Amino acid sequence: MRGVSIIGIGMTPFGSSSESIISLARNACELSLKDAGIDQSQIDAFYLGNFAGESFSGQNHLAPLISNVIGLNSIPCTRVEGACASGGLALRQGVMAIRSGEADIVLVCGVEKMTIVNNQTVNSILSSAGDTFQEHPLEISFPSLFAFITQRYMHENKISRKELSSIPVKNHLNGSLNEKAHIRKRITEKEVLNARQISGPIGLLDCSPVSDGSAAIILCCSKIASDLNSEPISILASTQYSDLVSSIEKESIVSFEATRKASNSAFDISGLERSDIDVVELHDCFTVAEPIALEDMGFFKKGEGWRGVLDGVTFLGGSMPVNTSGGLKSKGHPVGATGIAQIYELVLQLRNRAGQRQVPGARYALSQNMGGIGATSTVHILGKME
Amino acid sequence: MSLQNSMEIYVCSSCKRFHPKKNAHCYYCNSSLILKEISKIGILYSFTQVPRKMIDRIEDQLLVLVEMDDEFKILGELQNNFSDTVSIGMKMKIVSINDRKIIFALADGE
Repeated sequence: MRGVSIIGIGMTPFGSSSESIISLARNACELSLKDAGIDQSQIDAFYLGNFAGESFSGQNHLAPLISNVIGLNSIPCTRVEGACASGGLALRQGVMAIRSGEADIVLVCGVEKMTIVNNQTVNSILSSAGDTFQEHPLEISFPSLFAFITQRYMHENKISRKELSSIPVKNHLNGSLNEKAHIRKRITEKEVLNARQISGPIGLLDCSPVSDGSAAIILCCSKIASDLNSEPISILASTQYSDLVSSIEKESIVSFEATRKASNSAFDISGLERSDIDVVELHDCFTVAEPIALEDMGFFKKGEGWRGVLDGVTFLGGSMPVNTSGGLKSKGHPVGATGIAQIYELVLQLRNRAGQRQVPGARYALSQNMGGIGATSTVHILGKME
Repeated sequence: MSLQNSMEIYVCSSCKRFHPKKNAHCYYCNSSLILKEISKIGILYSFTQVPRKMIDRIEDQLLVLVEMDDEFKILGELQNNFSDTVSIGMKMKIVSINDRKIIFALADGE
């Protein structure tokens, strides 16, 4: 099987933007091409991660449209949708295209334009990623689904909101060091605990913001990567699993089975141990998602993921910093772009170019991108090429 | 099971998923639905209180996820709002089903 490397990255600032969804994607793609030092004519295929362009912007058929705007040839252009994991899924499709020999160089982009509609409409669009038959009669939003999870997690582990409140504080501290982050303001535990309730026990500062933004990467067959770029990053594993969509059908709502399987598979494929990972970007759409992901990926025992931040392990300067970009919470969460933006941060880390957020000597990095309440999960492990 | 504590719901004859309202076919696999008697009683698995301002209502909404005695979970809403006294593990009872919206109350003794 052919090896796959990343030779270029690009990302727009995340936040509320006046630019259209097409313009955001074009900017990120052009930045990634420039970073790779290649031009449009060298791209063999284009994959786009986007959750709901038709609902937010009234635009479908986005992959060829964005391709037209950035001047790609008449190459295969495909949009991939998997709720908040759309970006991770698009990346995996690109990896598989190169591994199979179908393509040598692939452009993968993730984009979402969300602030164009009001918050009520945003909630309605996002809730379509749940099981609408079971959840819509009660108008259950994603904050409410994650509130169920938070309440149960606290109950099973005999903790309160206080033990979880350092997680968004850490992520905002990291995000304050990221010039592309949506919310660069540092916050305190007291502010987290006293924030306006969204769906108790979840407060406003437990929720990732509604953002616009795009990120893009250039994938390349590893055999020719070094000829094109001086600092390619290897993709050592690219895995995906799926699970039940409906909250009522899950045996447990405090574990994401798809994440657990994707992570186990990624470590098997890469041959690495958990202790080899230097830095992690994971899907902290709501506070509780971070400790659960850390447990499901085997970095902490079941029920002890919340200790990561309290013991300092996951802070910058800890033994395995998590969400150095600020995570979804501070960097922002333009849904389709999130999985690619995670890779953007990890490539910066492995290139030793993350500035004040740099994890010294980082060699191996892991990303976890999740859709819904865990129905889709991707895990990617990256490594510096020796 | 006494009649007071049981009820009939529609269940898919194939995939076994339950349907709060009678449909011609299963929403998920299009098989026929059958009536099944189940217990109205369950244990509170998790809950969330949604502030009235978030949902444009007169009072807060208390959403509940209940593990029924028949070993499946149901999403519903708690009748009246006992947010100060509700805790995971409490006994819940279905009191009505209104257009696919299932309403629970605290069971006797809670």
